[in-house]
Amino acid sequence: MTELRLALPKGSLEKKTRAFLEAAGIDPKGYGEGSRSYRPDLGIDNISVKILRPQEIPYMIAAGFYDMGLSGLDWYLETACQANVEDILDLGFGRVDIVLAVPAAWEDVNNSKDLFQKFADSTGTRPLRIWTEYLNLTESLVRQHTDLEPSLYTPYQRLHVERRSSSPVAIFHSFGATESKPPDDGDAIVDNTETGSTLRANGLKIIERVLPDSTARLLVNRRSLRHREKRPLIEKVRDAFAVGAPKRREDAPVFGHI
Amino acid sequence: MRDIPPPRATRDYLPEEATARRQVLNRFTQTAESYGFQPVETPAYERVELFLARSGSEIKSSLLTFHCDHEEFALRPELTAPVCRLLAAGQLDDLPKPYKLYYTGSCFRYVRPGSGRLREFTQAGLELLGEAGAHADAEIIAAASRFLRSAGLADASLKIGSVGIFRALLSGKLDSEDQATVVGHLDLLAGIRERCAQLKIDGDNRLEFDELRIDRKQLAELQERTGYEGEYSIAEHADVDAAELAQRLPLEAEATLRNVWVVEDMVPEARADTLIKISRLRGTLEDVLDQAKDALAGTPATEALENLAEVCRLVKLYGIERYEIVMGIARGLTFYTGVVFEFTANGHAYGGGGRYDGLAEIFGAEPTPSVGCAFRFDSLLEALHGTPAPAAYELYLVADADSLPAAITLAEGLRDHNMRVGVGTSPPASALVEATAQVSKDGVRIGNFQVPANADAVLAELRK
Repeated sequence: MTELRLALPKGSLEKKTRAFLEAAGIDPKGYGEGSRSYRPDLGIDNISVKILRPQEIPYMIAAGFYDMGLSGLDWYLETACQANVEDILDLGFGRVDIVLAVPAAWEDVNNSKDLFQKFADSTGTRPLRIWTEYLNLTESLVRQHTDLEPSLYTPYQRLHVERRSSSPVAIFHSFGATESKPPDDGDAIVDNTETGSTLRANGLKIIERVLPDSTARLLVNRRSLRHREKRPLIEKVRDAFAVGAPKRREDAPVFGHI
Repeated sequence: MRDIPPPRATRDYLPEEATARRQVLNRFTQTAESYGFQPVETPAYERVELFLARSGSEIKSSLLTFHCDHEEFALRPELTAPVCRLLAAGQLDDLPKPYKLYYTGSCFRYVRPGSGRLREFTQAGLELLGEAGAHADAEIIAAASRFLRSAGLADASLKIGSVGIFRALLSGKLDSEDQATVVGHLDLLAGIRERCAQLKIDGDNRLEFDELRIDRKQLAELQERTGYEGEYSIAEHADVDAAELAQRLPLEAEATLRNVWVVEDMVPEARADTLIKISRLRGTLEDVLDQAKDALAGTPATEALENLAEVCRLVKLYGIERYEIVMGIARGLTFYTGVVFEFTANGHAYGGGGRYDGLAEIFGAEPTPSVGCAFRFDSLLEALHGTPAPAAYELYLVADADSLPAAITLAEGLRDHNMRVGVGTSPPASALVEATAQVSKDGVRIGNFQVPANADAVLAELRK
């Protein structure tokens, strides 16, 4: 019998994911209870589980190492794996906004247009430095607003495609504490935030919600979805998670005439 | 490919139903054009902001959205917002004013699978933009009614109300967000009254009963939040049977919402009483008008009441006599500003509309007084259920190898006269065919008659 390989997230999504499984009557032994094992047991035949970082889960599924997993919409989109991975269920928890933030003192910058304009006006002096863990989302943001190819600063420079190092917009690969970079080491950040209070405490203000309402998603490899034996297992896991997923209130607000 | 099911909460329409749908859509188009409305077509999806502009992000969970190029899009849940987008972008500037537009198309909303509603449904609507007079409201109501008559729904029940009266009563110190909340409450109240009136006391009412109990639970939470204590406390009457629920719930809802408005400082106490009193009124114009005048004397709502009366008088000129004024209709919408109306059958609203003078500005257009309406075709077709679809062929020509060329020529000739014609060597299932004719070298045999194989002769014979 074919086994379904499921990846569950380590970290902030862990507790809530466990609660979802429990609500569906599943006892995830060794998950979300401070265990040091990375291989919990759901006690369901033909489903094997491993714990991974949520950043890794979308591309591990895209590569086919896992059939199914749980991660945030932010990392799903950052990985740009929509062609191979489908987002089948919005679990509603772990809600964060991916935002563009700049020093609060910049009164003339109140949206992304202002930001790119401010640095376009002072071309030649120095590049606009944006720090982020979300390199792809940030690159798309830059391209959405400018005709520029941003340069990229990362320890893995040589592994990347050749980049012009003198672009007026530079993306810096952040490994955390992104909010601490401006104003001295950077001008702007693209980072996730729940309430915005950490950003405010570090003298930053949000000028754009780059990806609003990123929540935990159940992700599936599209090839696995077509697999005769895996599909029923995938549906089983989906239905288990669907028990706790927020019921969207239907027809709540009426729109249009009818 | 093996067994790929259709998406959840969608459905297919096979020829019989699809034909009926097309016929009704044609009726809609004909009626709209007979009043001088012109068609518009817009994309099936739009930037998600377009649909959030009016209602805010809380409606997002009711949309079908997707990301593409890191932008977020939504399949359209309705077609008024796209029309407003055209207006705001100045794309209608070259058209004669007022703009009279109609549309038909698929709309999409996220609904729970198994709720009996569809995620994709067809909507058809009329929008009359740039006309403030009561005659515009009357024309929309008349066109909508004419369409329903022509579609075979002569006994559609029409209810007319006025959100304008509520808005006037709420104007002044109330900000628009609170106004929207109160209008939403009034709509909830109207829905509760309607559903309680229809709740079967005996027999299978489990679904409706459960739904009302969910509403009751939410009201109980509101009571708790606002510290309601009084005759209609839900906590003190937690257990009720269907009969009690139907009798108590509307009064509980009135008491709860009135208390919320007063405690949360949305509406002054005297005004809250007027709102409740007005929302209870229903009947003919004569029944309602005097009571409403009394209740509204000295309030800023007298003008809106006069406007409602004027629209009703004009509607009469179009020969529309059978309707009910239901003052409690608040139509859920935060965007209506004047007269509103809805069409229902078996308790389901399948069409409705009203005046929305403030909407264009929300989309960045110049102030444009407007009125419009729309129909949901899935619900409408359900109400029409049982009307047989016409056969695929009015005439089927059966030929042999020798006479086939003549039969094909004849069929093309008949199609020039807009007939539905088929050709073959053996007749198809009789359900598909109204009449069959045999084509041979001697001509065409229809029943017991033989006529030459030309279109005019065949048409003349068929007309007999």
